[in-house]
Amino acid sequence: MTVDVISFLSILFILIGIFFMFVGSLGVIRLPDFYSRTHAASKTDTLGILLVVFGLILFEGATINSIKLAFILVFIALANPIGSHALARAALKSGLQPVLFRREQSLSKDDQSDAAERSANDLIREK
Amino acid sequence: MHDFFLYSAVVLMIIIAIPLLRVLKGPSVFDRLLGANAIATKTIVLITLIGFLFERVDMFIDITLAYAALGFISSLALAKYITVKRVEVDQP
Amino acid sequence: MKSYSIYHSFVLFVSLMFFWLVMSGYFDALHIGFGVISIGTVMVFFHSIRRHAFFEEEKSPLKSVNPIRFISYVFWVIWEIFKSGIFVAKVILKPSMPIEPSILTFKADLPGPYAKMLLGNSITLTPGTLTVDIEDDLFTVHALSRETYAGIIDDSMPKKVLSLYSDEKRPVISDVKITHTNL
Repeated sequence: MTVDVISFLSILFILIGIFFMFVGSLGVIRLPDFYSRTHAASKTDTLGILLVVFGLILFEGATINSIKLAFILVFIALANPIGSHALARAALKSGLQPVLFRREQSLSKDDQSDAAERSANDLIREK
Repeated sequence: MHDFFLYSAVVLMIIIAIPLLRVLKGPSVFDRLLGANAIATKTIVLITLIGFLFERVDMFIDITLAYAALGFISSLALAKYITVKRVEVDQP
Repeated sequence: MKSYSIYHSFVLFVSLMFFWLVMSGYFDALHIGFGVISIGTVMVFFHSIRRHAFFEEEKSPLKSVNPIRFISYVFWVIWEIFKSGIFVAKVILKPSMPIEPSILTFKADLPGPYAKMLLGNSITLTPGTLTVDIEDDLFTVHALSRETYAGIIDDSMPKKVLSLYSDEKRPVISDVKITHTNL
């Protein structure tokens, strides 16, 4: 009975992880500029891979292979954001300008949020 | 469980093919590298799933570890190389 | 040059031995003996590299960090990975894609390069923000939308990183500049 529950949990984790990896792939295609795509590649993909590997650890049980899979887990959680950061840094240093914009529908509350940002800056300066 | 691993590996292969579009389209070299990096990280999971599929997990996990280290180091090295070389970029 | 104590060599030996045992999977005397020989060789040849200081005033990363707070920090980071993955997935899946990319730069006054690395890593792992560059004290961060950098400009996350290293309470970041448009 417990084995079935664990298999079910591992299948669930793998399915959710594959979904997140799909969303990450979609983001690499859909987002408008390089720096936003880096967000999709570093965050969503990392979460998806972590979930799939965690599901595989649950399926494998307490063996030496699980410890090796845990190594992969830690390695990916550390290495994937670092790789994306290195690429973004190289792009900034070579002069690739990020596409920055504000949306039209939020222009009405612009003054409000500008005031909020200013007050945050003042707060920091006061401290 | 064997069927589940088979189907998820097939689905994963289709998902891995999606960033190839970004590699083809560009527009800058960094977009292409990002697409290649996304493919490399997802391939790690694919190799592990193939290991579970053939029930040779112990062997395939070692391959996965070597592949992960290789992909990480090569992407870092390429990023560093481009920073030093100052390649020309087309502004979007 | 920096000095390394017996304690550091012991920690390195134990972690390398653990890695060897997991990778080999055999626990008999012959394989463990091979492991001890190769780890000893690596440690002898690596000794001169480890003594080299890569940064100015580099201190050992093990001694300066507060261990109890570091463990709670690790759990916080795992939770943040979940939140940021879900946040970016939501942004991508919405047909209108509600993003407002902006670049913010700020100066952070942190003790040592490891603290800066931890702050950069935490910024990358929190929802919607990505550390693009760290040059001396100057951080460059790309934020996906406006509400995502609230945790940075109100100084809560940099203070969390500072509390790993020292007990003093002081403002960490200054000179915040936010760029919304590149026109």
